[in-house]
Amino acid sequence: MSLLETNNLVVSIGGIHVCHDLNITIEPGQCWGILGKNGSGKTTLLQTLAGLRSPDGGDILVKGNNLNHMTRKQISQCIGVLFQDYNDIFPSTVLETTLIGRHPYLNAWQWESADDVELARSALHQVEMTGMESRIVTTLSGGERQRVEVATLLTQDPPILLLDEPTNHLDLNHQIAIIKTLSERVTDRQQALVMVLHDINIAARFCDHLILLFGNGISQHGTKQDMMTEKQLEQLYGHPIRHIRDEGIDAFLPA
Amino acid sequence: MAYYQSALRYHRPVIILLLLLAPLSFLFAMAVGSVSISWPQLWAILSGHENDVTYNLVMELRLPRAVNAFTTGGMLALAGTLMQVLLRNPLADPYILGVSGGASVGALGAMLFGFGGLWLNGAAFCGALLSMIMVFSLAHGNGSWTPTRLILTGVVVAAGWGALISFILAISPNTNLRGMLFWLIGDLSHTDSSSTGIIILVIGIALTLPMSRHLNVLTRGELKASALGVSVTTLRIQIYFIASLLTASAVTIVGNIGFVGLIVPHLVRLIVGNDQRILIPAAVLLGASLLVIADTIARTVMAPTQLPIGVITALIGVPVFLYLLQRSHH
Repeated sequence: MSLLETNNLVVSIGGIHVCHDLNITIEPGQCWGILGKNGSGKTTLLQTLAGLRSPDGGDILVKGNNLNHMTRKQISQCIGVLFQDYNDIFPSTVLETTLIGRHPYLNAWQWESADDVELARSALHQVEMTGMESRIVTTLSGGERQRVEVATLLTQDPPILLLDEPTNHLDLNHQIAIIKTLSERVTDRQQALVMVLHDINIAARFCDHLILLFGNGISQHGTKQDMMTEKQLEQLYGHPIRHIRDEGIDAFLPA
Repeated sequence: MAYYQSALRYHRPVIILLLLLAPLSFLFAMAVGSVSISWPQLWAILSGHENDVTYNLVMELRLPRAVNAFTTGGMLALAGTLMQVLLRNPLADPYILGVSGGASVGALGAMLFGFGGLWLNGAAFCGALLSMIMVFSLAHGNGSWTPTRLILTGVVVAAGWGALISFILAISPNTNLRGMLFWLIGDLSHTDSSSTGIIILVIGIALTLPMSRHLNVLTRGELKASALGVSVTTLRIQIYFIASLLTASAVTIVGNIGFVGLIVPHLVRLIVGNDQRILIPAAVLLGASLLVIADTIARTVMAPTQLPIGVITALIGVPVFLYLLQRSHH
């Protein structure tokens, strides 16, 4: 069964169309990228898929269940979201922040178990934040804070991961390391990954499917091979682009 | 080790201290005053062996007054904590959204027309409820119910009440002014023993504790909280009504006691961190005990003149808070 599916999905924001009659089917183990210019509605589409805003039409199915008929708690056990920004009003520790990811699985009076703590610690280890558990999040650098968010998502461990610009604030080594960790995890556990990306080359390297948002409600989707052509990308960004292939790695450079 | 065990172990000294502070504050309140009562005497009174003037003084004057201070302190600390989470604003306090302004206009209006006692309490509570419902429906607007909209609506409504308070003070005869002023800065000297307060505080805590992990998630922002399974709008409305009703009750019992609701949550946060499951009970205990101690000081330090309790809460709270704030930066 597909993990995430849309039927004739219509999304718009502030009178601007994002997509019209979008029909995608995301199977277990797949990694999708959403590309488009600023303001084309990438984040809006991602948040709609996460059930955080209502579509203007059409349906979203999560493991065959209509998103409209699921409670917030049920959705949060299936879909995890990494947001572009976070603002910490009150100080709390890195471990506390990461443990928030277990919230969907606990009832009102329940506290996090030893297993939950272990899960959070191993998530922090995966994003190379071991030893920082008792640091206060407001004292972290942008990149460290972003890695804590990724660790929170790993602690939530939902089958569907929706990421809004996951490489924000990260330096090169962490960009590759974190996306690699996530995409390998998705392949191993037969989960699904959808990422809004600015970096075409990250998309070229890690995504197998793409959604291109051209603005004005025009969208295209398909396999990476079909979507990632010089011509398509030039049309998408309105800028000439060169495709280079070196030792099996595709690279796209602005000409 | 499960998380709560390590958290409780880590904060054990603070929790024990707070649990001891509460009964100690009561003993302090009962022993200290115009007639000083020795510990053996107090022990005799509490075990019911003494039956004279001091018994009446302690059991019918000092104890009820301490109980009122304790419940209102707890209410204000709880309401303040909730408001800070609801508005995601560290400057929020129980009075920020105008509940106390409404109560003050009700109470002062009642005083102006010569009502007292239960009428005054009723008028204050009605004023608070009116303000609460007004702010809630005005902030609702066309469906969006954001913290920004709520805080703007509340602050503006509070400013309106402020103007009405000044108006009432301006047209009131001089004989009423001292009473009005004391009501405005908070006064425990005329309050009767009220078990309603205790019941409301207990209900408030019972409603809040099971949602305290939700509050942790809500501090992370609306979208993040939704994505983690919290029904944000429902939770916000619940917090709003719980915090407002606690504030309304506190203001009705003792008037406007400033500072407790703003500073106590921060003070506790500096010591135990921002996990609401520990923060909320700790804040209630500290706010409650602090107000009992402050009220005892207020009625004794310049006896026979009774100082407004708000003066004492600020005079204790400001240096302690500044000290903790300094320390936490190292």
